[in-house]
Amino acid sequence: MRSATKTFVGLAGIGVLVATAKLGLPAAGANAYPVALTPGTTSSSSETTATPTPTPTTSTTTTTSTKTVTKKTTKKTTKASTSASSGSGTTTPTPTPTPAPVASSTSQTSSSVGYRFGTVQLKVTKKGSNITSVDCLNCTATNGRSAAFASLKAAAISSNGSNFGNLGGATYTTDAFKRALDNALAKF
Amino acid sequence: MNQSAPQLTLTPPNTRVRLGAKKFVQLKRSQDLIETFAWATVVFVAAMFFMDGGLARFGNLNDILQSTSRLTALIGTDLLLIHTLLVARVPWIDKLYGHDKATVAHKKLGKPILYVITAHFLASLIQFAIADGKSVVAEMISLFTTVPDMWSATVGFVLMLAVVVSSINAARKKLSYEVWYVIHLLAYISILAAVPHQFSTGSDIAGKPLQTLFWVSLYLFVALNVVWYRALAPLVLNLGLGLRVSSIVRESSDTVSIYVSGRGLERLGGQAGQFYMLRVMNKANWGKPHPFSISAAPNNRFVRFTIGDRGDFTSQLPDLKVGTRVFLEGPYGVFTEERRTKEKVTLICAGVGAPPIRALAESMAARPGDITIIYRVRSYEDAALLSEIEQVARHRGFRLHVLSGKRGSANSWLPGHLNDIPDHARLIEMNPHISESDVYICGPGPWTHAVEKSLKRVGTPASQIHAEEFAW
Repeated sequence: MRSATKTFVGLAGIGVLVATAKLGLPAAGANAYPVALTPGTTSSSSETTATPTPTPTTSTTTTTSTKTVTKKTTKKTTKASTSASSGSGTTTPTPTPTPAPVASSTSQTSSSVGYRFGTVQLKVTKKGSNITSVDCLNCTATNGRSAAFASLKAAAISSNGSNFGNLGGATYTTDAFKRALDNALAKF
Repeated sequence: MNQSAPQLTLTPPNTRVRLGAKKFVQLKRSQDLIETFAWATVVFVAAMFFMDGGLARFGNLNDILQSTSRLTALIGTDLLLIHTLLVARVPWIDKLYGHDKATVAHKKLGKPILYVITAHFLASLIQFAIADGKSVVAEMISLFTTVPDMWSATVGFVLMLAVVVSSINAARKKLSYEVWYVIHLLAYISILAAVPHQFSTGSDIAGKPLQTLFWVSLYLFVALNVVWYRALAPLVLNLGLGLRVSSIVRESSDTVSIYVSGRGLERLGGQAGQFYMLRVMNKANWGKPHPFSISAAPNNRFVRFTIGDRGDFTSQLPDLKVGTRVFLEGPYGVFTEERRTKEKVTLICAGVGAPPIRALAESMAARPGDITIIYRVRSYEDAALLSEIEQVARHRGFRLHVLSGKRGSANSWLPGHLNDIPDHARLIEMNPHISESDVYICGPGPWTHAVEKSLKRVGTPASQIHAEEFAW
């Protein structure tokens, strides 16, 4: 490479990296997926909170049913920023409001998927071909890993399936969640 | 061993050649473009990681390990694919840089890539182990069995270790070429084995359309180039050509010429100064190609290699049977007229370096007096191709200096009896136009460097010096 080109490419490269780093920082800093390894971290969503012993507990079905109604249809968004590991997981991805859907919602429940940190059982609601809500019937995870479920549910809705990235620090949980999700989707 | 040489029929030289400094600038521009593109892929993967908030996650040990694992995986894989492409014998790389320079770059990249990928392996393993509160060994076993595609990725990593270890200099000296080659082929399996976990378990591809598009295209691009240029294209060409050894001629006490002929030789498309990987298709040698320069301008009657006995495979060549099948891969190399920018040319060679110089002298476009040939030999009586070079020079009106005799002072590239004045002064005496001519040098490494030093002294710009070393 000639030195002038080298300088130009070097500066441009550094410029791009700095710019992207700046773009990436606030989004992640605001609401990063908390990778807390201390037990006791709870999440505000409806799934069962972390229990050291993964005993299956029956979930509150009342909340899930209300959720099905209140959640708005989320179009399959493919923006990178809405993907699970972008860190903006706990917030619902920017919904594209659609006029009142004509298709009626149907729900399917997955079988209970056991994995090394607990179990995952999901209830998936679809309206037409879109996933409108994913609810934890029985989701358990030790050591605060249950915090991942909120991000995973958001990712499942925004990608309208199980094609979303691995959630950093929660590889096993992601894997179990995806298996449960696929299981439920296969029943539609 | 065969008979007499086919009558020396000179192939008509090139009639047109583009000259001028612009040519050099264009070459540099193309090189810059390719290198910029290569660096852009590295910047792209890092930038996408940063956009994803990668930098924000360096808060605690767990985050540091995770982010390190992701970033090293992205950069390592990207470099690994570039590294593979460098030796895929891709024409657009070889034409711009030369096969030798591309190979050097490939060798330089090997170890750093291993370090980066090792960092990825260790960072993710330790992060998993800490998160699960397990020992590293126990964690590895459970990763192997429970996380999707992790076992194949680990196999890929182990294979990569084997490839790099077998290629470090100490190991290369102990291993035979064949063993090293087979181990090196494992690199392809290593790369493929690591693909599934990137898409299924990785955080940076699945569900991200831009990144998915980037990685799928990059993988496909490299794969197509490798499969076509490295394997299919040479195979198809050779099956069509049906090349066989047509005669073997002794040129000097330790040099023989091998003539190869077949159907439609013009399809080989080589130029004077280039080389082919010659694969003799008999039981002992089919698995091992050797690089040799052509020693006569490309023509549709034969391809000729003039090969000095260096004690290895080359010592069996005089006993090769006429009619033996051979495969040629190539042509490779940029020691050609395409690199010429000036009207005047000086061709300098020593001993085993004579073949490409002989071919260049035959084929370069020139008027009488444009080309000066300097041929350094041990003795007049035992110099390969000397009579041919003399004939070409006489026929085309080139000046020829044959320098014979024992070497003079230790740093000189000239024989002792010409050592009374400095080498570069002797060079000007032999060709007063040396600083404004293109100089093609071919000979053993240290000798070539000595000539290059003299050339710098007389003021020949580096852009006009073209050197091909014999250091196989």
